[in-house]
Amino acid sequence: MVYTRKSPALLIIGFLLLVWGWLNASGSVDGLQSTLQKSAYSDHVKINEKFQAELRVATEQAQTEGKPAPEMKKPVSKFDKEKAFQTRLSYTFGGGFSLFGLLILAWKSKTGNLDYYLSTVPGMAFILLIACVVRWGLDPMFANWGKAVQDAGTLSWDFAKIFNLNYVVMGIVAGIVIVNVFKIPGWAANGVRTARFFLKTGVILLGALYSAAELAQLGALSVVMIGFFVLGSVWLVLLMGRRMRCPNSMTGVLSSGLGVCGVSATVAAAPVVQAKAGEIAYTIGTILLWGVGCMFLFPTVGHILGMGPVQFGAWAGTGILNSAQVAGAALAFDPKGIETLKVAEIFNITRVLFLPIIVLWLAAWFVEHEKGAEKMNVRQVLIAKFPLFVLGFIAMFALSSTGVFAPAGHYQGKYFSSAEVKEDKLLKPKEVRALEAELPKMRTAQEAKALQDLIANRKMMTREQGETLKTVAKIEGLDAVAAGAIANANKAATHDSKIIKTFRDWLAWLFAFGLIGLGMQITTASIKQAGGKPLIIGSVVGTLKAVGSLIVVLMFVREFI
Amino acid sequence: MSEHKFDRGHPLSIFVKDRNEDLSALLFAFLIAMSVLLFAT
Repeated sequence: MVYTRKSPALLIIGFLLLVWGWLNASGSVDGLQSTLQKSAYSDHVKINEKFQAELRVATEQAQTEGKPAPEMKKPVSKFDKEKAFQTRLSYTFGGGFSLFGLLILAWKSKTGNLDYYLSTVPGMAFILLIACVVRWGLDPMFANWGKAVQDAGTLSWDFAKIFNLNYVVMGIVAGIVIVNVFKIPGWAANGVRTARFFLKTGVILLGALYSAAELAQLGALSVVMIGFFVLGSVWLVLLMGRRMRCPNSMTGVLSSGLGVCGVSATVAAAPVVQAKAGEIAYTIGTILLWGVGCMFLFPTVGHILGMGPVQFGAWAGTGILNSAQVAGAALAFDPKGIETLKVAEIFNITRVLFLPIIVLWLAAWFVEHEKGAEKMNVRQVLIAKFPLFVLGFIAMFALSSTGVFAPAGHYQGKYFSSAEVKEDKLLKPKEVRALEAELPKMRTAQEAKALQDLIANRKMMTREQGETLKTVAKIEGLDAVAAGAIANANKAATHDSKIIKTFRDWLAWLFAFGLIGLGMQITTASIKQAGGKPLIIGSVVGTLKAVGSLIVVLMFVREFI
Repeated sequence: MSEHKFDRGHPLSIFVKDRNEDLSALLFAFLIAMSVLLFAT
């Protein structure tokens, strides 16, 4: 069978991206961009005005001194960076897609791997085009609109924020609308199926962003919470299934799906409880129905309750049934940062790590309750079905812990380094004098030593001294210049990891791509598979899990990031 | 025979087996990580 369709669609998408890149580079759409990126543009104008003023003063000074006009480098604003990024991405992908589009039209397709993988390119281009429209157009448009409506007093709240009308939610909704209203075009079908692959890649890559410090704090919390809710959900489903006289195979597969991590847990548990295809379909339908509902509901509830990234991540990673929807909800709650996603995914990964225990439990349970059940080779099932990408996540974290991406002690991509403090960030003589005057106020030998080192080196020497002096800065009656100097020295020695920042950008695009594709797979037909007793059990357990984990999170989880 | 070999009907993934998808994702993620390491420093 030949999969590649002879369609000009890919060429057209490539051309559209090239045109957008050119319009951006030539400044023809600066008016539109300034409307969409209002706050970045207003900063851009301020930076430009400041630069022009500085240039004027420097030129006038040079003229009075009879020197040639100085050459000053114009600072790059966030607005400039965003435009440059859009241009680069449009040219790269537009060029690539145009070439592939021509190849598809010219090439005589033959059955085989090349034909199959080539057939995925138009669909991927289709998703990327939607991602660009949503991320560069609809997302800022709704954000501006929500703010304008609030500022005008029409509403007392920002509707775009409360309903999470950001690129993640709009991308998923766009996918759902396209598949259910217009249908996926034939030329794009294979590309849409790459969505799960990109989501898995994103989860593996996410492993690079954790530091041992973060994982030590989140790990203990997630094991306790997940342990309680996973084991509790499985136990409850098994109990309800027996009471409602569901077939053991149905109950078994449903308990794994509702308890662990949705679709992949369902597939892993199916062989040990000898589940039939229809039962697997019922379970997946129930999980999808709940997962999609929670994906839209959780972020709104999170914002209304004023939850922070750790609280929301812990809740989503525990309460939402399916892995993909956990990522969707976390990004919908906090689309600009990766912090919520990081917390949610560590909970999700912990949940997946419970899979072997659950499969063993279900194997024993099934043999005990099912008459004539054959003993399965559980080890073999586990080796064949355990999601390998989870091990990839752990491997990436192990690699990250060696300090290859950012210094191992980094926290949210920030790390302390005295050696990297730039010359112009060293303390000024006025600040040093202010600090010297405060030496008698030091309460301990440790504080005095830290301050003496800071004065002698004009920069913070160790993270520990930085922490000590932070408490010193709060001493009542301490000179404002001295307190400011301590803050400046700490800031100068704290650096952002460029690699971690690049990872964050990659992750945002991988997840946006994967989630739009995921939306395109949420069909009414797949949701309609849910029904009967499995839906009743799913509703009871899903609600208890969502509400129970919310209560536990609100009571015991505190923000520490 | 070849018709059967390349008939990869699967509702969620382009890969016939989940394991292949996991391995490819693993490879792709490490490729991205290495590229970032090489070009972002």
